[in-house]
Amino acid sequence: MAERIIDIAGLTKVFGSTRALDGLDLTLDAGEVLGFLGPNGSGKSTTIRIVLGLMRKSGGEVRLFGRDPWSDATALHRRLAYVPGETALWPSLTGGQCIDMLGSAGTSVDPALRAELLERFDLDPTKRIRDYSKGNRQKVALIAALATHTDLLVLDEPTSGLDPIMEEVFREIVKERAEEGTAVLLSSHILSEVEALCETVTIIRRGRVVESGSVADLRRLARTSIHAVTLDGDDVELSIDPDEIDATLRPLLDRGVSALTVRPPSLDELFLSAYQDDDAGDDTDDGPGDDPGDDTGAAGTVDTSESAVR
Amino acid sequence: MSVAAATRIELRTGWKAPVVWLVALGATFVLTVAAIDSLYSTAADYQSYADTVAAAPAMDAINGTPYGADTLGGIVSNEFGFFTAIAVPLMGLMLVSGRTRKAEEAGLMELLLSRSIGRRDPWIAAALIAVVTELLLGALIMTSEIAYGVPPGGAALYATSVVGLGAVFSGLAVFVGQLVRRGAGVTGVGVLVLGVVFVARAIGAVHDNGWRWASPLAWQQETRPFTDAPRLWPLLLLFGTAAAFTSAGLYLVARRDLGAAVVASRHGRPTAGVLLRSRAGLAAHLHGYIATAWILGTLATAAVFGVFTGDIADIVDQMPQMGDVFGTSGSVEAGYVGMMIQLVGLMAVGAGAASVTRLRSEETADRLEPTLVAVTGRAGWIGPQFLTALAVAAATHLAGGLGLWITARSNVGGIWTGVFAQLPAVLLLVAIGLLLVGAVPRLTPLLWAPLAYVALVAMLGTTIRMPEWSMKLSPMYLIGLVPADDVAMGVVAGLVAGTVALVVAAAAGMRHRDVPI
Repeated sequence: MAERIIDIAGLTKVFGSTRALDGLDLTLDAGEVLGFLGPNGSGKSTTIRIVLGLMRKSGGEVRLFGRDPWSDATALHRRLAYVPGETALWPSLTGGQCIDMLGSAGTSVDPALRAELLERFDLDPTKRIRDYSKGNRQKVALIAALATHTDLLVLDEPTSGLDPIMEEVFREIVKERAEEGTAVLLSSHILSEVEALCETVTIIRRGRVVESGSVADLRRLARTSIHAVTLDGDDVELSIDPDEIDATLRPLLDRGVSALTVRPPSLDELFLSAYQDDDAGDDTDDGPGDDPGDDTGAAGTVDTSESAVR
Repeated sequence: MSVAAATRIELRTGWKAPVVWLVALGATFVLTVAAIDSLYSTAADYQSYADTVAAAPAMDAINGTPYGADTLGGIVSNEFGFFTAIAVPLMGLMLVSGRTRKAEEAGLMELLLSRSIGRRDPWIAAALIAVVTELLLGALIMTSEIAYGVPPGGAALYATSVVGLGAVFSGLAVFVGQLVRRGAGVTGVGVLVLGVVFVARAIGAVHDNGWRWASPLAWQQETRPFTDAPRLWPLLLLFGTAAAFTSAGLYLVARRDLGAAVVASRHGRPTAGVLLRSRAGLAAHLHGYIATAWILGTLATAAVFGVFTGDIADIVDQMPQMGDVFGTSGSVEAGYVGMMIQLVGLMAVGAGAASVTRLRSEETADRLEPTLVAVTGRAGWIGPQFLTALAVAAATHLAGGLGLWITARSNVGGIWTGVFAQLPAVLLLVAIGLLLVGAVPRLTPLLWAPLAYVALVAMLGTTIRMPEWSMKLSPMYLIGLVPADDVAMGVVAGLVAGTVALVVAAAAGMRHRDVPI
């Protein structure tokens, strides 16, 4: 069985009168890439900071590599690298100096990997931090983390400020690292990024888990969108459950189709309903992905479009 | 091990500050020793210095008690007393707060602490760097004194006491750094403590009473290194306090969240009031808390120092032969008040410089851009901001004048004349800071240099026999010790014109340069 890297159970964190985390559960195993989602202020960064031992839990259990992240912080940090969402670096140093200096503060940077990543991210390491744009500053933090050989990458909205091409580069590199067996905790708002990289997701809202499970499972519950124009001029748009694909497409193709667009199952709706659904919080928070059907079923477009087909 | 890494990083990212402090303070000290050594050569010279300071205890308010003033070492400690009391604590404070709470506030700690740097390490590293800088300064002080023939034992004790004084304030910064969330807050609390202990030492020294034991500045002097009976035990007070503050700070830092503090930040108002929506209101809000602290602090300090004019009056009554301590045509009390007005002016420049720094940090924190885009043009931002910085300085200066007037008016006349005569000098020095922001923004920290220079001329210029022309570079020196000196209206007019020119140039520079730089 793979090593359990992060194990959180019933985690709470209180700031004054604010309850930022309210019984949160989360696990991450070796080699797993976990998408960590939630609306603004739902507690993602707080969770990450507690996992990193930068903040102290108020209650519950947190284990990082089987140890306490608060008391064993410096030793545990040798096995991970972190990219914060808002990267602050020393304005008067160059990007290259920052990367090396962070390397000197713990896990060292692999020079070959560093050179490769500079190349792939198209970053000039001789510029000073204050002269970089926000996106380039983010690249410095990314390279500093990705150029180390660690068992765990903790990425907190790591692509903020990156252009789409660089986002793609980032995805490729994370994929490569995951294939080498590095576990990744990826907090993100970009659903396509999560879909592309993660096998499992945990969605939290107001400090509690509202949805959790493998992306494949969730995808199975998601619907395929089909847009077809038949030869006799009928314009058909519908979204269907995976097991209805065959039954739906066959009659359409028999009529003859001049245009067909099939959008694969998207988690967007699932994510959005988990983000927004205020009342459902109580009945879904402790179910780790076993019954997300209530949420996906909310899209009631199928019946009407199906009737349009027939 | 991880402390070593943290130290390396802090030195790599901020080696300039310790070097600047060391060079500036070390050079001033060496110059002072050299000048005093050449001024006083015979035993009679030393004795006459000792007699003069003994006859003017009100000056002890500024320099502290002049122990062993009939020796070279004693004279140097007395003449350097003001610098020791202000610059060494500030150095200790800034060297720590600059690389700890300020860095944490800027978010620089998050990445470091996610590596193998422990929660305490950056604080230990900063305290180490500060203490090593203080030790190097001590070594410089000791070797230069020994080179000029001061007995090694006394020189070593004196140097150690200065190191201890710096360490107290470095420790204070480690401790206060856990209590407040902002770097400026640490410096603010530290300066406030310095002001209080400075006044406590002044009261203790002038009235020769127990107040002095409330002040680390007095502990430093109570080692009495150049008397027949030097004392080691005050060093215990200094280093004990430093260790206590440091340990308390390190205890707290390991128990708090990153970015948090014992004094939590309160929830603010959800909407901006009418005041904050106006440009002038925004400017006042940004400068408000710090400015209020400066104004009240200066008023209180000036009032305490004004009280001592009574002591001077008594002494002059008893010893009318006591001569021209201040080298002016006016009375001794008027000379003292003139000097106090200069001191108040220096604090006012400090307040103005803090405001200018604040204004510049709006830009470096990327807050200026949205403000400029939002308001109807740069002139709308520049006007109120510049005026606020100048107004803060003026208000601080006038508050100090008020403090002096309240407690000294029964002994000395013409206080307001002196206060208003120095006002253009104060504003001119603040305007230099504005010009830096407008024309060469990255050099904004240099705005403290004119202040340091003017303070040097005011406190040591005559002592170290700076050439006349170089002292005339200080606008406060040009105005002189009014009310003891006469007001030269031509100089006042020139300073006013100079201030206006600087502000106009600063505004023009601000309007035409890129934002942000």
